Amino acid sequence: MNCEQLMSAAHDYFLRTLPAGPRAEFDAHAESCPACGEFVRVCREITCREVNEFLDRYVAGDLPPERMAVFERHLSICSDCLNYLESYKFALRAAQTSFSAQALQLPESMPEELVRAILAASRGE
Amino acid sequence: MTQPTDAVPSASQAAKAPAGASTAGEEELLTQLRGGCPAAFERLVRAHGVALMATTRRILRDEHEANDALQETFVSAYRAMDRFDGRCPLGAWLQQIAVNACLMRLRSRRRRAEVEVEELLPQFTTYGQFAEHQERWTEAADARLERGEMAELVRAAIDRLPDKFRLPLVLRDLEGLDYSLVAERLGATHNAAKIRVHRARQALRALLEPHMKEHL
Repeated sequence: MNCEQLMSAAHDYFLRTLPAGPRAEFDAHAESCPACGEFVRVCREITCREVNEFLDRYVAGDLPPERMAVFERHLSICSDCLNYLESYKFALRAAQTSFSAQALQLPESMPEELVRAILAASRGE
Repeated sequence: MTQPTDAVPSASQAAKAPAGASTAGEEELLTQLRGGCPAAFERLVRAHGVALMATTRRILRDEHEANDALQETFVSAYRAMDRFDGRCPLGAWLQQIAVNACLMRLRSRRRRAEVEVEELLPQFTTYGQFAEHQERWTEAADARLERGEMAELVRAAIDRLPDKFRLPLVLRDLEGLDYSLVAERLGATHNAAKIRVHRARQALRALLEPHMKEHL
């Protein structure tokens, strides 16, 4: 197995659906190739589920530095998590943009009728 | 006339809001307000009205009801002015009164058609990988967002979230309250507030996803 084949087989390898033969070849290549060995090590460091569970804290920069580094390494090799992260941040940005004062078409100043109603109500009228 | 809310926070509670302490200009206004000066109260309404209108509209999503809640907010503040000690900005204190006024109104509302948030969360295999590949969203989505073309769609998606998740999202991500205040306002633990904000963002992301794929 070469590096390209290892990358192609990685998804099935971690899903445990790779047959025994190719699985042994995968392990042998990861053992002998420093770059692929590092890739496999990072993949084992944290799962996508764990990354997803703490994504809010990662986005807020609210994780200990060593944990941030683990997230960064995972995101550098996992396109699923990276794509999810980007879409998660997009959703947050979309919420904020869509409820901005401009998007809500708020008046620049308080409508006179409303001001009068509030002043009257405060006087108990 | 609308009834003022009883749920007026103390200034120390409001002091946990994002902004700092009140300014010298506010001190002067506060002195006049405590003296019962009608002109000072009108200045307060004009100075903070539009920002609070944004708060009530974001939470209640109905212009008429939002204006009623806004009126309740100012009447409550007017009557509780002597309880405000100036340790936080007036705006932060007023914002919390407005949030309380809105929450009281929501309690009496009929249940809306809502999505099941659990069904919108990502699925994982036994080994912790995504069960389905996550596609990259198109860069065109950003441009559509910037042009304001997605605002209605996004607001409608957020409206479909149950209040248990929608409100934490509104208070944290739109109103900028910190998690401890979100938890306090909603009667939840700090950790529950954080989890609900995260779940609400995940659910919103899932509701937007089909519209992003259309443009891939």
